[in-house]
Amino acid sequence: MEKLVSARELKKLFGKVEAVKAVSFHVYKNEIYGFLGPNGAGKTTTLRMLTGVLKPTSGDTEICGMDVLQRPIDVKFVTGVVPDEPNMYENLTGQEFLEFIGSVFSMKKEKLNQRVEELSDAFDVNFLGKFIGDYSHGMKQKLMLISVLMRKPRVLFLDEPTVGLDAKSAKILKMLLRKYANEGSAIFMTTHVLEIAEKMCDRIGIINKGELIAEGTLSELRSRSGKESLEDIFLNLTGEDEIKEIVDNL
Amino acid sequence: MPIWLYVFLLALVVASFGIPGYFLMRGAFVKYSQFFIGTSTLADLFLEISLLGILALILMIDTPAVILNVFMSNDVGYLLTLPISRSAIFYSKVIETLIEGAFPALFFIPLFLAYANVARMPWYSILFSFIMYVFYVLFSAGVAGFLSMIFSKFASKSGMRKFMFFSSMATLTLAYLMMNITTMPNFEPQNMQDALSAYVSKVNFSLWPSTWFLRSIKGSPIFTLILVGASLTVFALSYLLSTRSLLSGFSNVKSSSKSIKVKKYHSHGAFEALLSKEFRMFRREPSILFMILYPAIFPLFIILSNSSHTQNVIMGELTSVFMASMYVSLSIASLTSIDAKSRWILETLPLKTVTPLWAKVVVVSGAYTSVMLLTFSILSIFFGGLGFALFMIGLSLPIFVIASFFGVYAVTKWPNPSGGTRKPLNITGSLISMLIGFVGAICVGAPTLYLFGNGMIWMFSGLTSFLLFLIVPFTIEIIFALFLRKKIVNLNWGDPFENENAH
Repeated sequence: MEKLVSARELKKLFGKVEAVKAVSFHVYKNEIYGFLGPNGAGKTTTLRMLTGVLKPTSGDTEICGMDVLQRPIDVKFVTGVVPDEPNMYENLTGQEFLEFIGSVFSMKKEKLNQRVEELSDAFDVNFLGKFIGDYSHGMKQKLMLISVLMRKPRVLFLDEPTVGLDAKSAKILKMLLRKYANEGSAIFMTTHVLEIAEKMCDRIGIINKGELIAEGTLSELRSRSGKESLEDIFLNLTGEDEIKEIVDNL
Repeated sequence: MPIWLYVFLLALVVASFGIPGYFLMRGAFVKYSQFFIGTSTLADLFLEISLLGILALILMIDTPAVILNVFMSNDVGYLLTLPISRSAIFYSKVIETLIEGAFPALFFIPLFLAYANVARMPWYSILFSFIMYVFYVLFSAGVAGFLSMIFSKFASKSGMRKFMFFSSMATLTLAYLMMNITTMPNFEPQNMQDALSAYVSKVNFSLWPSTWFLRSIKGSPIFTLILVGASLTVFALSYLLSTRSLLSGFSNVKSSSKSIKVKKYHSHGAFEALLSKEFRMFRREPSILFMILYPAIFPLFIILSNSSHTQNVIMGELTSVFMASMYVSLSIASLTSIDAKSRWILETLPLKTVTPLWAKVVVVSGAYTSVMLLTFSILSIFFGGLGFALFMIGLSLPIFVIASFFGVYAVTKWPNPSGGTRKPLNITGSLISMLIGFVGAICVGAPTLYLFGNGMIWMFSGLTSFLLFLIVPFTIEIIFALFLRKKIVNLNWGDPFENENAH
């Protein structure tokens, strides 16, 4: 299988704090990889290193066979990133923002029009003429998704992509990601919603305190932990299975 | 920076305006108080106009500011969920905004002290006048708060920003009109008499709060009661209304917005797309757009105060260069702070780090150069000196480019995390930007004076003036450009706050 994302011994220090501790994994073509972990476990830091936004203290990353630090521009041409916070230029309209992104990625005019129209219809987006500053969180999230999905990048990085989306849009996004993966993309996704990870992801990596503590398909994780649901596996691995006791003591 | 240094700097700024302001106005009031128009003196009239100016400033600048900071601020939604009364939330936000917004009201103090000194007012009258002035500012602030509640019913966030820009422009125009009256003593007495008669009928009007103030400090108990009563009534009314309007205004403000018709999408080259984006940002962010007006308007004040002197025209144009090189840095710092807020966008685009930066520099330097070109061309129609002006603009362009890059460096070195686009730099950064503006103006002004000064630098010998006015400025320019190049290459300018933490 073709490796589209490779992380080798990826490590990040913030001062003396070791946010990510020598993490290694691969994401293959046609695969959706779920990256789970408690708050502050190092998910977003790992994602930022994978996308070339943050320089790792040590280790290296390859996207589609290209070193992220050596060939950043080529890497960015084939990747799409949906961050957790939909901060965009408030003084641009949705259309102007999409035009800006489309132009920087050298999209053809016809393709741009066709893709925006298709995705706007899918996500019920009819507010592209308004200024982004007047959008709600969900509207911004939809715009951000369109700006990435319209390019159909080979590798997609999504940080909590369903937060702020209505049920219909969330469902469409999940189906669309599956479709893109089937068509040859690799998708790396962080999420707190274990149900999404359980239903969508082909393989799951669990990170805790900067360490990748488990990795595999859902059935592999089940057989290793002896637990049935992903929630139980996750809580068991991240040391949070004493929840009942905590709640009782409250 | 230690707190005492901030206090010292603030005192320095206030004193640098207040002390010369006092002596300047005292000299003017001595003359103005001898000039009677009916029962009032020209000094009374000037005081009333200044008071009206302060009322206008508070209304036009604070009303939209209150709406943005109260009804549109991100934390109000959260504060409303806490067990705090809505009036308390409303007034804490209003007071926070007004303290900042009512800062111009402080400039009335040296003006009033000069008036009181000339009028030989006893100390208790001065004290009473200050108490009345507090009521006057309260009245203005109360009206601003009241208006903000009305506007918040139909204003959108983007619409309010535009309103803020236009109200600021109107304030500047008003300031210009006010300043025009100070030039009147240069006119013929008869013309002045006619002009003042027209002013008196408009300014000395019983319904203006400035008239209440002036008559109150002149001993009228009725007008004292009117001023105090009106202030308390306006404040009480807005306090009562705030309980309901905070909820409804908050939601209304978020929902309504003008929509631009969606057309066919176009694709451009990457740099062209960046230029287009920066131009839109520049054009649509009132706080940035407002800065560009200073180099266009302030030289007019200097030149029109006494246009008969050629030196005034030169000084006016040099002021314009100073304003421009200072505001170029601040404008680019504002634009960079927008990108810093949405930094994931630029960080994930297939562009070299400096490419978006050059787009900003081209747009900002181009905009300031165009404005100066237009202003100087208009001035040259009336006062001549087009060659001089064009030469100065030619010299300004590299300064603008350098100042632009300095703006990027400044926002990474001295960011103001809570200042947003309006105040991207902390106090240190703002003061250093002013200094760079000053140095920039010297680097442009010195060679211009050397070549076109017509004897204005007569006190220096040939070689000294050649070195001081030609070689030194260019050397400073080159050294500063090289220094910035070195700094910029190593900066993560897309994430100033990360840089700040790293230092």
